Amino acid sequence: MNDRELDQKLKIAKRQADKFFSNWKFEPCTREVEERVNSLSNTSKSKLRLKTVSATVASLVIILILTFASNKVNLFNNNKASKAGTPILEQLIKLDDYEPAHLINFFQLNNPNGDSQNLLAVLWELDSNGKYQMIYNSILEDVDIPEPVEVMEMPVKHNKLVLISSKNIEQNHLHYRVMSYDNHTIKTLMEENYVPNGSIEIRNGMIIEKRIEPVKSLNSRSEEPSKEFRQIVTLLVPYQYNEKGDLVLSTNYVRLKRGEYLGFIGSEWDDLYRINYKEKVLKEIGVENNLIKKGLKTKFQAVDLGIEMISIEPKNRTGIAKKLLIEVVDPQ
Amino acid sequence: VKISQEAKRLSNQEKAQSLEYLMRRFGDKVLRIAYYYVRDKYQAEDIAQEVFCKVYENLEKFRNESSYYTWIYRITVNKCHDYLTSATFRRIFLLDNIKKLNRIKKIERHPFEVIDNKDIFHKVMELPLKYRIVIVMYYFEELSTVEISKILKIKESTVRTRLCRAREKLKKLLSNSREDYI
Repeated sequence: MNDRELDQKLKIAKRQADKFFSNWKFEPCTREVEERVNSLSNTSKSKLRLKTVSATVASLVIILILTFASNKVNLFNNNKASKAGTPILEQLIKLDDYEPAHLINFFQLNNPNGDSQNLLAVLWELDSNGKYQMIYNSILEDVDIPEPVEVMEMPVKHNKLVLISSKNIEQNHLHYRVMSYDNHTIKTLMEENYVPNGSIEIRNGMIIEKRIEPVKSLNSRSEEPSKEFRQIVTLLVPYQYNEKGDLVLSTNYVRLKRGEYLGFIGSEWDDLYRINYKEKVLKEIGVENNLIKKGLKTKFQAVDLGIEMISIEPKNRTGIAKKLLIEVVDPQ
Repeated sequence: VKISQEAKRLSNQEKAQSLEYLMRRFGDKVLRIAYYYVRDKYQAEDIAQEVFCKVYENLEKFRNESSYYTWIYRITVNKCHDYLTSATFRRIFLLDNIKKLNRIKKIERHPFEVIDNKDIFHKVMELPLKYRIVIVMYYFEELSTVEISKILKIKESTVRTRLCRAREKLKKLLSNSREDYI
């Protein structure tokens, strides 16, 4: 067996592992953890009390413990009535090489009916007085789980890309925001809501979005829901202009599987660009067929296997064009 | 088990909310990692519960931790090691070996059954622990070698070496399976 065969086997093994674990959920165990934590909490409090009381008043200690135990607090009964202003996730992110870390919070915002849970994502920056100032916020509707915030280094100096996302596990949808950070300024590059069965991650200088859509949604305007679904993978390459006006991409090489999509994202304030390609391995998809609605400038689909060097020119700029190597491989 | 003084800075409600979030976010993954170690669903569930109790005790440390999944996975690995070196495990292991012997006897009765792709995952799970863990973390959980080195608290070069050796062992294991049955 050679290395290639083993790689194939390991891919199969991963799918088998995913299938094996597909019905394994930790959720039923959470109740037990809550009970154990409650009991631990109460036990610890009792021990602390014991340390402070003299051995000669043992009977008094017993009374105290009993009294304390009878007034025990159940940590998890009050979850729904969350305290206003208490973040459910707090993460420090390094956006500036010379400034202190930024802080991102996710706050829970329940609607008055109590039947929908929203999250408010807030990005804070320390000012010169050492006080946090809000520099960005966004509401993520009908979601409950904030994903860890990801930061990507951009080739333009001191520039970073920030990815905020959040999921609703029960309803299987994802919201995400892609922003660029440059010298205390945040620009929103993309905003997507209710991405069905969505996932998003930063990998190899690209943002990779996955979603599952009905097969006909791209080609048909029929209102009948299709019973067939397929996974749509879009690789998003962020672009920027440097001080000289040259176009800068976050990667020089993109490897796509046939059928996957390639898109470019940049700030609305930047000029658009022109892309030269030979239509060998890529086909441009019209804007009306874009599943990603806001922020995506151009989108291509990998249609044939092969390698092609495409050239991306900055429009109305004197800067030099950028070359990007595209490789399309078989999905198998 | 005592709750650290640091953790006391958070209110009980804040801690409960954070724990709830962490369990929903990482519960399934922790369960998987525990299973990779102990290869027993019920024991893995028990370990995963202990992991989150431990997480609860140390929530204050977590709050300022940017790569907090590494921290939680590290706790999981420690808990699994504790279990594997415990007397309880040794007792169960002996019983398990008897079951395995019975299974081998059953397989011997069907020598012409061809090992196909169905068995690859189980073959990976038969690798020795130190090789199994790097393979599953790298290929199944898609963690990088740097992340694995942080979780296992070993050098990245050691992770790479183990991956190479694990691949060789797996090749042999998969080849032997075929030869045995053809």
